[in-house]
Amino acid sequence: MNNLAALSPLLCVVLGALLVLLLEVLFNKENKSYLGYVSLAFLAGGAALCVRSWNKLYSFFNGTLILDNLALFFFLLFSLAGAFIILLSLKYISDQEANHGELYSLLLLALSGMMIMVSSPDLLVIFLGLEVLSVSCYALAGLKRKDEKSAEAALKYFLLGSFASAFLVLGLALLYGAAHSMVISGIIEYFQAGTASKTMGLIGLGLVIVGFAFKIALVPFHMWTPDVYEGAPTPMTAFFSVAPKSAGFAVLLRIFLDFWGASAETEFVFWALWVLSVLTMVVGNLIALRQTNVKRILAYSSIAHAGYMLVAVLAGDQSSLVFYLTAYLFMNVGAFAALIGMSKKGKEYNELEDFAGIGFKYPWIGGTFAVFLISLAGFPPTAGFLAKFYVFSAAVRVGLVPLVVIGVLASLISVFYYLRIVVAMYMREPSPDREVTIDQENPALFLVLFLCLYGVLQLGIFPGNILTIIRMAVSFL
Amino acid sequence: MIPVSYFFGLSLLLFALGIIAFFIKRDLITMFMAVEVMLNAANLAFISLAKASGSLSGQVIVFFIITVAAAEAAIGLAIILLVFRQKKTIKVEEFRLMKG
Amino acid sequence: MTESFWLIPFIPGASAFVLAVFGRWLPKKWVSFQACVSVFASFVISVVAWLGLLKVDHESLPLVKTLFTWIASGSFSANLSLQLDPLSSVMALVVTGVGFLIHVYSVGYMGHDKGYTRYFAYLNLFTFAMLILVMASNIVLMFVGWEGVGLCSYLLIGFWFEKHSAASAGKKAFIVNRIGDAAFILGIFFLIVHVGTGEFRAINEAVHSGHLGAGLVTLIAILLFIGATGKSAQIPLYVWLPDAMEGPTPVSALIHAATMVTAGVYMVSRMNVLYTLSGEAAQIVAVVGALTAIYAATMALTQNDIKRVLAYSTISQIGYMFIGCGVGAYAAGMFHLYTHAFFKSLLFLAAGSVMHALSGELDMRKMGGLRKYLPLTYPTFLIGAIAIAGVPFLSGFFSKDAILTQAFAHGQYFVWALGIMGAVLTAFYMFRLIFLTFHGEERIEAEAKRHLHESPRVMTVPLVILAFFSVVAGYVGLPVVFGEKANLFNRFLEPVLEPAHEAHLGLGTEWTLILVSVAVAICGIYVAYVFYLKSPQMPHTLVRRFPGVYKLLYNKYYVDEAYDAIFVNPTVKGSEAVYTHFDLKVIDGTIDGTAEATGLAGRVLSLFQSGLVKDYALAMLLGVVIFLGYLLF
Repeated sequence: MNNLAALSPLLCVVLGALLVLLLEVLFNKENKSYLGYVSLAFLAGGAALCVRSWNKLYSFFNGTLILDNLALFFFLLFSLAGAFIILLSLKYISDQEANHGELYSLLLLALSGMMIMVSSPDLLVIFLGLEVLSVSCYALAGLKRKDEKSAEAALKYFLLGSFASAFLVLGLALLYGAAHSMVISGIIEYFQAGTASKTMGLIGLGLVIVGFAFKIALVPFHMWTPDVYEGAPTPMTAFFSVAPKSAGFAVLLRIFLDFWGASAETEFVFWALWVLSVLTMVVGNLIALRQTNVKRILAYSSIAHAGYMLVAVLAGDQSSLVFYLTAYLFMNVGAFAALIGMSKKGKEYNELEDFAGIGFKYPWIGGTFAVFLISLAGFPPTAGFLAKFYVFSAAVRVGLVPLVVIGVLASLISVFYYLRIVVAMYMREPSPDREVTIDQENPALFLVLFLCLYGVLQLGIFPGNILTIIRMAVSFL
Repeated sequence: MIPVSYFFGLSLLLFALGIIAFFIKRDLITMFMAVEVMLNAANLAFISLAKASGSLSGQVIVFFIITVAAAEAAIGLAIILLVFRQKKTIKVEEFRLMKG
Repeated sequence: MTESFWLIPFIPGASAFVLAVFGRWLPKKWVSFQACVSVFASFVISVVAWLGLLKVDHESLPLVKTLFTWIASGSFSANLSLQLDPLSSVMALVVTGVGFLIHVYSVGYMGHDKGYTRYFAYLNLFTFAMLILVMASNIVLMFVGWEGVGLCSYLLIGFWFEKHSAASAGKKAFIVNRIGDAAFILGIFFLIVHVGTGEFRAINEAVHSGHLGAGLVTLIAILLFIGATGKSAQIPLYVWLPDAMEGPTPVSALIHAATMVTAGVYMVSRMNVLYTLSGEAAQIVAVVGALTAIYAATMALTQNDIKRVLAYSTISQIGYMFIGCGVGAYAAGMFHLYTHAFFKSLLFLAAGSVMHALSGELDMRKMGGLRKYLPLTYPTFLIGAIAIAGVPFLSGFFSKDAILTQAFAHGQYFVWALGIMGAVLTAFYMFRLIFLTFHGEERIEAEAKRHLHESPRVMTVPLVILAFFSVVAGYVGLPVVFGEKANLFNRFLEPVLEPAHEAHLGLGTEWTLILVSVAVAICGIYVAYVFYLKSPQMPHTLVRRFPGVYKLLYNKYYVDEAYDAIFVNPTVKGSEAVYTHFDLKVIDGTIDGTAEATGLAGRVLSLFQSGLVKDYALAMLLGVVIFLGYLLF
């Protein structure tokens, strides 16, 4: 019974998913909004249960499920992201020919997968969570069934995702064969113990890292990202760019931070990730410069941000990583919310040219979008500045100076393309042959916009409270 | 009695074959089957390594992975069906609307 | 009242917020009123705070007001806290005082602009950011202001974004500044990591206690100075400032003459312990300052655009300020900053008045003889020119002399010589400007001449006030020859600035130096007089005789072209090359049906983002192979 109580946040979300699926089949109403509200209710319930378990440090099923503060913090973060995405989808799906109630159910299932990922030290359980997440995401990417781009996105996501999964499974097998354990502490023991050859273990570890690198879109395992992000329905893109990334980094946080000191051989892993981080920051930002589609710009931008987050992992600084993920959630979801706002029934405006003069024509959407972009670019006094500052200063502290220099230069590059959008919105006249009119009758969207704006400013100006919570969250590691 | 290492070697060979098939085949179904081969090769590796180490847990893990593979197969076939309905083809190189 | 100094930045900040959010519903009169009054209120508080500061004893400085804890994590903390000490007090007075006059002037100058409210929102926002910059009590908050002024400057340069040149000038300013900022933030990281906090007091203590190694101090000082070269338009990052003149003229006066561009000088003075400790870094500052001073002065010689002359002049004058800081005479550098704020903003505003009179004409070749049409603008302009040229008893004379004397006294003869040469050129180009604009024959176009008129009162009154201060502002910092204690300005700043390196010269030497600088100023003015009034054909003879030199100067030493060739083009071309090779080639390749068959090696380079699933998977596979290869070998 106790175990069940510990599972309750997770169960709440899963039950919600199943109920929504059932309701959809039973009633099959044209207006799917009620399913969204039901999902929101279950998310809120799950979040309340999380708050109840705070600081209790539950550990169940022989330690394969741990509800420590870190897991709970990420539960809350995911719930928030999920709630934002649901709010953004309410109107979007009926406007853009994606009116399928499964969306909410799949979204909740994806969230439950992420929750499983962040609350276990057992690689097998993490893998299962990852697969629940991935399978839901494949379906979500293809939600606009009549849209060729959406279908292509689902296809690419699925083929490459399962290809990457195969490597991950092989890596798990090798790791298991070498260490005879799937639990992270056992694997670390294996790396520390003895002098026997650890080739198999290392290959396994490398393949597992590759599997996760695919999920969080590190260069060169990022190729799927821009295409999938561009093709998927925009709220789902917002979801992909935020949630799986957070889950992936949470796993890295839980697992790999202990690895550096483990043995001389795992030192190599550190440098391999160092290279990945540099590649991710540089390549992501460079390719983004060429883009003319705002959705694609944001896709490449999210790749680059994964690079900055990896700097925090390399610096071994948990709280700066968690802070970055939190800040990133608000600014990136906010940016996508503004992008979703740039639409009307049957039409989405994603090209850069569509944004000319928007800042004056639609001041709320333009203004908030500008703030999110400035935050993504890392300007004070927004959350993005503080997050980058925090990560980079942590990295300087442990002596990763070259990495920080590259990171600062890379974020210098990024300013160009973020600013390009702002410039288009405020400093360019709309071209006469591109009539852009958007439907602003979307209170849920504006709610998300303002909540994200609030988050970005709160985290940038008064980060004290959230930092306290984050420190509590990482203190049990 | 065949040594366990043979099974392990076979699994790696299968995995490599899966990779090769993924790259040389041009239709989505076969590519997807190639991925399935890779997954099952990894399963075989799990079993042989579990056998070598004399623990049962590796064999249990395989059941989980088979389940995952089944779920992936279901969603994968659905997606392939979806794209086939749109384009009337499952040639992989036809799907390149987005790039750059 | 002194305790409420923390209100100084927030009044314009609040005003900016109101204008930005509700501006569209506010009547124009109210907008101008609110914008000006908010800055004036800050000015009043600054004055009160300054008076209060005079009574505070040195031990309790600086007064710090912590509004709240901004970042508090285990590893480092930063407060949102403002501080008042002599240095920030001087800066606050300059920013709010000159800023207020420029706000008032803008009411007239921007009167007919359709972006009136937007303009004042930006201007208030700038004032807010600048005040945060100068009053921050830690370097992180200072950086917030530093970025904020950069952003506002970008917005204001590109204010008339319909003009393509304005938009691209804004972008250029932004890019160049970002390069400096990258170095600046790295310097901040080092400071915070090694000191543990960004509070200036703690930094000073840490440096004094020798907690930081000498190499580290030099590194930090140089990184911070690179940031300053971007913000303050010094070699090599000065290129953005002349283009920034595309913005409205009051903006040039406020941001690109009086306040923002001098932020670098303020920063170096604020971190003076670093530069005092690190001789190498200080030497770099001095030499860069001296080179910029003379280099920019030579460029000002041949410009025909009245604002561009002033822009190069600003670059050159900031060079002088850095000379002061570099030789250890921070007070002299700050003194020049303070006097320069008056006469340079006066010159810009007067130039704006000329433009206003001539319907926007900027080319001096189309002016001449304006003296009789602009009875108020001319004398004020003249006062500004005399002040900057270094004619005795005006403010610019005292401050420039203080810097050059200190450079000489510290044995920096090379720097001193460059400074003196720059002074000749300064006098020359300023009076060239005066003579071409206000004297000689009229070359005004007929169309412009019909509208020729003196500017309205709201514009000329600020000119007169600024002219008054350009004359008298220097008397707070008299040189040593007038008595040991005559330099009130230095004594006021003593608690903040390292007095250790105060070098003294004999009275005779002091007098000689003063006479030399007077002589060069007169000499420069006289040459300009001969060239442009007495025998105006002379420059043409010179151009004929030395065409190469003239062309080199006229084209600004081809620096812009070189930057384009070295940095800008490779970036653009490189990214285009990536695009064409990784993208277009691949597509062509697959259309031919060859992509499947081409060898692995050939594909490696051209497979990125082709849209093909297999290419993506191949990139992944290669990644796996390289990754594992690395792990194993």
